[in-house]
Amino acid sequence: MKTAASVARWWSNLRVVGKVVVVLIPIVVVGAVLAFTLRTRETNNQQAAALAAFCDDEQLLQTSFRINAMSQLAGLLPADAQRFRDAGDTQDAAAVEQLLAAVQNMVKTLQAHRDIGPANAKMAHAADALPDCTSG
Amino acid sequence: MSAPSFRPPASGGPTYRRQTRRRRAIFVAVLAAVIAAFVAWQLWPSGSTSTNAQRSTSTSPTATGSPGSLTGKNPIKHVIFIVDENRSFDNFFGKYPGADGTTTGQIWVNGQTKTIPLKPGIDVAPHDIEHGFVAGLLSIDGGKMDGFNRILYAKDLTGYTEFSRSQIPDYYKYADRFVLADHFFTSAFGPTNPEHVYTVAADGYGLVDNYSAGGTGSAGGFYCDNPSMNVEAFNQNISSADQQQIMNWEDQLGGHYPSYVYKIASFWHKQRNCFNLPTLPDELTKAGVTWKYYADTQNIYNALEEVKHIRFGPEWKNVQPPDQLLTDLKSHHLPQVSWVNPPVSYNEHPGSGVSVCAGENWTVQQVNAIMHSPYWKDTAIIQVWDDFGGFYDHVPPPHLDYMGLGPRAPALIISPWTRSGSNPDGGSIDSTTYEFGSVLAFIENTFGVKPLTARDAKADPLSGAFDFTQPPDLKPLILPYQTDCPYGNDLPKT
Repeated sequence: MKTAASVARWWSNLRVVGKVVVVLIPIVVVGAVLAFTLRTRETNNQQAAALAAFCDDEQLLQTSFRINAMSQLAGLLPADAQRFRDAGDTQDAAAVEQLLAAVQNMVKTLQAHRDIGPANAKMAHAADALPDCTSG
Repeated sequence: MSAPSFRPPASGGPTYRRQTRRRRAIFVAVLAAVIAAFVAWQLWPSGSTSTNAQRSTSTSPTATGSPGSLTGKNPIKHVIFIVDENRSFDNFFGKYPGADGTTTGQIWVNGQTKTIPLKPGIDVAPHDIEHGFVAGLLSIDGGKMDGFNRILYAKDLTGYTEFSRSQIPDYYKYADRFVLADHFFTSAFGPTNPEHVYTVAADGYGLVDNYSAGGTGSAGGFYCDNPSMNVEAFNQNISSADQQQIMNWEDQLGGHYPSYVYKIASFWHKQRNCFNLPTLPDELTKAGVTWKYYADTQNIYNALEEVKHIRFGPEWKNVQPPDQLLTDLKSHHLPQVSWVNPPVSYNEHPGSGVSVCAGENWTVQQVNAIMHSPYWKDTAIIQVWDDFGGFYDHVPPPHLDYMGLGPRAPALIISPWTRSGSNPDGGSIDSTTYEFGSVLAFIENTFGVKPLTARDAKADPLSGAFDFTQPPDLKPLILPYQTDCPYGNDLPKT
């Protein structure tokens, strides 16, 4: 009872500006937490969608070094990288871009009928940094 | 009565000290075991599982077991080796009574294996499924046989289907009367090109693909006729240690895709689709045994078009179109050994509108003609499919070397001399482990030709399929065509 009375007295002594601030603080805090949560969830969804799309496209690597499949993959990877970037995942975006460079190099190698060893080494290096499609 | 409680003697006498020492020893031992287990878990390759342990891994083809030998005096004078396209054993015969089949399949979901029912087989498959070298390894997944849904173009699970007797009645009738081999493995992880090379050479020349560049458009020809056509292949003379390392990567590829692809590919080089290697046709020619390779040219199914000394040598005259087989039967010019690759529209390859039903009719047309001919009494027909085609199969193949073996393919052995058994019309199921080298070994045994490679030297020569000690069952099994196929119902009767 005593506490309630003192809170009431404190409230009545506050100026209008003070009362507005006291009311707004919890609203702002709750709103910020909510916005952060929704944003994180959206980012996670974007990230999951980016990973799913990339993992689908990555299956083209199963065709060994067929020039048409490698060319097709090279056409798909820029959008994959952009999806990661949109999800705020710059690391995976960079990894996909590295793969894109390796795939483009492989296509050139195949078109020029050159030794595939160096191009394969680049593919190996790029593959080691790729987002994990084996567990998700 | 009070409950007994442990209370150390106040004096800490010898008994207590002994017990304490024993407890400490047990504690240290348990701790050491836990640490050892943790370290082993961390160091153990992640692709290894208990299932892998069930898969035989050996650099020696003896992993198929000691080859058996054919019983009795071999009366066969004609061998016809039919090579169709792209089917796994479970896809065609998974439901055949008594065979090692299944009605469910394993799929890989988020690193876990789940079981799903196999759906009915599709006569005209909506599309092809990737079935190359890497796809084969992913499907096998170190022996877990759960990766068939991870391969390219497999997302709709059309690979998880199987045919019934009503869909391929004539193949089932051949199995009823003759021999269905249910442990016949493809020689390589895939795809078509190396598998077909194995059917003539017991060796895939290290090829890991059909061709990667320089298709028919660039120079107009195919394989040896197209100087710009090339393909990836394993280097020659890979050391034993490196071979073992490659096989380890292959077993663990599923957990390390795509990284391990490029570790394996570091042993590949690019080469022309035109090379020389010893083939069984060469050896037959030397031995004076007649042979023909009935196959269309200008496509990936014609392995001899890729063997330089045959393509550009005198033996090329023995490469003839598939329909020539019927002509040769009628004119009594059947060679002693025949390879038969059906025309593309009848080879049962998924995609491009090809119908299994029509393909079966084409096979029936050839087999009926053979059974009507005077050759039937001493002929053996072996019909196989060249690779798994992306279709599910549940039996882990033996890992003989870095090329294979691949998933099982269906195999029918049709002859008056096949072993009888408890199949509906007296045929039998033969569960001996075979691969394409087994057919070559049978041909070599029949015509007194030496093996070409370790594969055919160690392969079982179809010993479980024949019994030459029994009188032959010469009665022909003339089968009707299926009449409701999308095409091929009007093939000329034979």
